Amino acid sequence: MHRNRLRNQGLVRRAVQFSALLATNLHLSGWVDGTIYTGGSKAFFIPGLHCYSCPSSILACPLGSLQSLLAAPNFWGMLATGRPDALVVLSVIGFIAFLGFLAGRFACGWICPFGLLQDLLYRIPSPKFGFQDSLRPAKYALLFILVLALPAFLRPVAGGAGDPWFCKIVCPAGTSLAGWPLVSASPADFQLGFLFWWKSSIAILILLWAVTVERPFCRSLCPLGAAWGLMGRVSLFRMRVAESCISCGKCQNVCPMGIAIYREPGSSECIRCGKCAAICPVGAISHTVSSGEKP
Amino acid sequence: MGRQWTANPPFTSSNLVAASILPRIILPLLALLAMAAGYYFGDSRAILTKAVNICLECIGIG
Repeated sequence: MHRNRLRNQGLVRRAVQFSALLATNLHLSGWVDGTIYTGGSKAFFIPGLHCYSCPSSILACPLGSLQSLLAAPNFWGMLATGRPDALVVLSVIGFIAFLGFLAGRFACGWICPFGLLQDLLYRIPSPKFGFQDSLRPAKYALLFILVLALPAFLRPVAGGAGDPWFCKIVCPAGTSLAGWPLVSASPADFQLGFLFWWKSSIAILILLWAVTVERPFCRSLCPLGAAWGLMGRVSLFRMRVAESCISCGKCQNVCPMGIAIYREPGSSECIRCGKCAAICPVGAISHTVSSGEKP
Repeated sequence: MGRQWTANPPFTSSNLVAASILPRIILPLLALLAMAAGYYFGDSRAILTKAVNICLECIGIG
């Protein structure tokens, strides 16, 4: 019975993930002609890691936007004097914080296209391995160093623009869902150098990793997940474990993030996917907007 | 079966924050306010300009 519930819950989540993917990727012709969408909706953000240079994307990547705004020439000076092109950084910070304080990493589990891609890759038959928990803190380092500190403060030329360092040297979503399709559609338009092959190697390694380990990028490297995870500690929508829990550990076995949710219902890693609630033999785990404490 | 653990240890600082419903309602509202202020006082063309042009850094060219 619990297996059926788990399967049904999985089908619902997959339907939501694919619906979100379709709703945010309406410019499908871009994949054929190698163009990207240029409409006004791109001033708004997608709740997930999805490159705005993906041919079909109709929304902006929150991480990419944040880095590019922080990396603008004289960003801090413009912010101090209230220039509108710097003040708009509040919109992306507010967007990320709103989703994070509302539901933690919910978007990772239900909306993020790169999360869905990893879910699908993990379904490929292959030997499966556990995840090294010691890698989890890496995403916080990437968030604070490559997404925030370097774009905001590192300027190769004084007074010039910085770089979106996470996009530039790591982001596998940009490489696989934007770089590869655009370069394949019109190879003559791009001069491929070291950076392209560096980023392609990283993307290939991460995609192969996702075949054998469940959601490795989300667990260890995603800065957006790191930010949402930190906020998820105090989010309104969360998981709740009731007193009736028998600590059988089935929830941890099915958790795509490998969390012992019965020990730590407020875990910053939880993507609110609900698999734990579906598998629980005594119905002790549920989503809640209440305190998360024992009933 | 005897319990060996507590589902939610009651007196840790993080649990006290989590247990309080008020900040968990106020924080998303403040974030929503910041987002609205960003769009109202800011110039969203700064985002749009980046998003409607191919991001060379993102695709591994720049």
